[in-house]
Amino acid sequence: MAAPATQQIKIRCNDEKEFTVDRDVLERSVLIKNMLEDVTEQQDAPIPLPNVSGPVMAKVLEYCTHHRGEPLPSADTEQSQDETRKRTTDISEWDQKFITVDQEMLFEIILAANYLDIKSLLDVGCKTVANMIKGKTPEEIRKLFNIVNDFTPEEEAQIKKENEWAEDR
Amino acid sequence: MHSKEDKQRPYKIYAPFRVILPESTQLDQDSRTLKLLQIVEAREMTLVQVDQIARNPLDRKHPTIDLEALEEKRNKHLIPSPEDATILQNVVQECEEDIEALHAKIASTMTSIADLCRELSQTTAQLAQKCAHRDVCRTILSSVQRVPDDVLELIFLASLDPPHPPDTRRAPLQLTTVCRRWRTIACSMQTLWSTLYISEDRPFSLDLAKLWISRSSRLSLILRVHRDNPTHSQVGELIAYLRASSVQLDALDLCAGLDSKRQLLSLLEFARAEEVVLPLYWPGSSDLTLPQTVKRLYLYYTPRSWFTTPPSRTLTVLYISYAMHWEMLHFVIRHCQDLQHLCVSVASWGNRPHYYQDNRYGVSSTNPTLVYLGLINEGTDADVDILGGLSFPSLRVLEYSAHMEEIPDIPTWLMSHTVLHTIRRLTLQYQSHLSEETLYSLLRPAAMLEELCLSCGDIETHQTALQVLSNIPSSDSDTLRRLKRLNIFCQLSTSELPLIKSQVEHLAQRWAHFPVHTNMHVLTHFNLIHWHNEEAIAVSTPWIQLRDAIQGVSPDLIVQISRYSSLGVLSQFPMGFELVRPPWSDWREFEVLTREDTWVTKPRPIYHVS
Repeated sequence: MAAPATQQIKIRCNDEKEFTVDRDVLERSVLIKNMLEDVTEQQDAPIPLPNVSGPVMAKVLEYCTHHRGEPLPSADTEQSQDETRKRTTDISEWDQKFITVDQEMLFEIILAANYLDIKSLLDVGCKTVANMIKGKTPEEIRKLFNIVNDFTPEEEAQIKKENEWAEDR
Repeated sequence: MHSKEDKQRPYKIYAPFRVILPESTQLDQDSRTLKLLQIVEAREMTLVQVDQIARNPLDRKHPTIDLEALEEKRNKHLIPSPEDATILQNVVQECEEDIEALHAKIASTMTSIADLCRELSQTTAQLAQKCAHRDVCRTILSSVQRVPDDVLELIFLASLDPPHPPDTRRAPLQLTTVCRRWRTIACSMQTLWSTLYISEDRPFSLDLAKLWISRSSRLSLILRVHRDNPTHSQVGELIAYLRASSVQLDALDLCAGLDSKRQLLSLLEFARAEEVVLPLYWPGSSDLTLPQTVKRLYLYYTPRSWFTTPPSRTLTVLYISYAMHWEMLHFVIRHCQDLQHLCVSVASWGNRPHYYQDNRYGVSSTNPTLVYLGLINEGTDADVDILGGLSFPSLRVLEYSAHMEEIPDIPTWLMSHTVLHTIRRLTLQYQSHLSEETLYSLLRPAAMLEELCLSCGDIETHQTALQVLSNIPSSDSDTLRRLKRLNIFCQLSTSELPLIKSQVEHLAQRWAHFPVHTNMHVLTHFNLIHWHNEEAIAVSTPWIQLRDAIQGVSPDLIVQISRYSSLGVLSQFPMGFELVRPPWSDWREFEVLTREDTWVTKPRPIYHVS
């Protein structure tokens, strides 16, 4: 059902925090967009979002508000050269500033973007994490992300042998 | 007891002495024996009574026994004197006592060692337990381990970006060495291992290819070999292995030195590749046959003689960096009826008026499937004459890079009558003057235009473009009314930013119905290019990284940086950036080039960042 652009939608996060947001902003989320399209009658009850907390949703909405009105990615726009260009384009200045958050929040945003199906935000998050990974040694990556090295000595030996040729010569 | 006469004997025996020294006498253990001897010699001994030393046999110092003299005496079968025999018996007796004491000490030490071993074992177990607890807690704390596998896959894919050229020494190998989960996911992602990049500046072994092939059944092979070196010598082995393996070579991107070109291109014979990229100069290569499986063909720096062999009819993508004669272009358009993307380099043929006068464009050719058309000008006198007589009813995207210094309106006129009326997105890259009239001419016929991208080579052209867009009267702005997006790509120094920003703000206010997106810092793509034995090597890098990387380097060392598209030079930049310390962390390797005369000729690494 087509709705006016100014329609306000309520959402409720898992910490009971509620937001009232313009529909076109919320529709950056494919999940919410589909939910809204499935609803035939206007409902006052807020849409429950059990996987997102209030503070994270606030950040997500900040992103959606900034990018409101932009065309959503579709199959047609992801082709060939354009695709290549998008893949190699860095994160825009605004997005970079937006995503400059602590690691916990960064991953919460990624999880929320994944759940809410906001592809562009998910891309920004993944690219940010990828940039953190690039150029680091495995030990540096473990330290950065609190990852436990759970390889057995035998597996370590196998990995070392596997990567032997790739050592700097 | 010793007398002074004893010293006259051929051998000396000193008995151990047990002495109680006056309380005031403080001696360290090492000098005890000497002092005792001195005391004896001086007849100062007062009492032999206390077995203090025996309580600690290891500390007991025996007097020196002249073993050589004893041996000599024994050999001469001399019988020791009664006095000597007594002394020797005393020595034997004391040695027996000492040996017993040492045995006891060894037993005691062994007990201690056993206790320590037990303690070590317990401590080790405690350590393992603590580590396990810590690891459990760290895993819970680890945000990245909470993301689902499919998101982690997206992160891994992004970490390979930019895709060309991937550094096989790092990603994706590094991802497999972090933890089990990462290794499992990374090894199972065929896309991570689907591009094998081999070049002479990186270590290579056949194991590399084997590892990649073991993790991906399909491969895009990028091979850059220019000189005789160990990598070069293994090309033959690699080709033999690929020929014998069942791997599907989806794409081949081959660049070789003169000696190995033929060998390398033999890959084309058996590979059923759908994509072939040949960034190599191949003089007189008309005998080369491209496989008919090829659907996407990218030919860089190749002469026209390539096209004496007709391309496959099933081509969907064709990129050609060499100037294409209009007759050949017409042939390709008619021959490849599945063509969807066409990007050609265009250049003046030197006698353009002749074509106009003879109306050579009277021949019309159409292609119903073409969606994307890229026209890249290499030279400053280039134009798009080749568009004459062509029509593309399905065209949606036009990217046009122009220098347009001489006759700016002819190509515009040609475009407006051939390709503009159906396009949805128009990208204009102007290196020099962009007149108001030209811009109008381009926008008016584009009735379906939804997205306009402007990228100008210098600040003045940008200002002109922005000014024109801002000043278009409402009555003459149907095209702009339909726009959904305006992208502006600028390459600017920091000092130029405020000026352009204010213009963009003005433009956004003027045309509030569509968003104006500016990308002041990041351009689409740049290549650093240099030449090796007449071969081109391109290193792709986002502009912002390039600019940041060269900041801090003396301008005297930086020569010319050319902006390249997939086809050729788009623009060249003089070095006028603010010099600050660059952020090295994002860089693995970077070369600054020297220039000789008018063109970059020799690569000269200034610094490498690791």
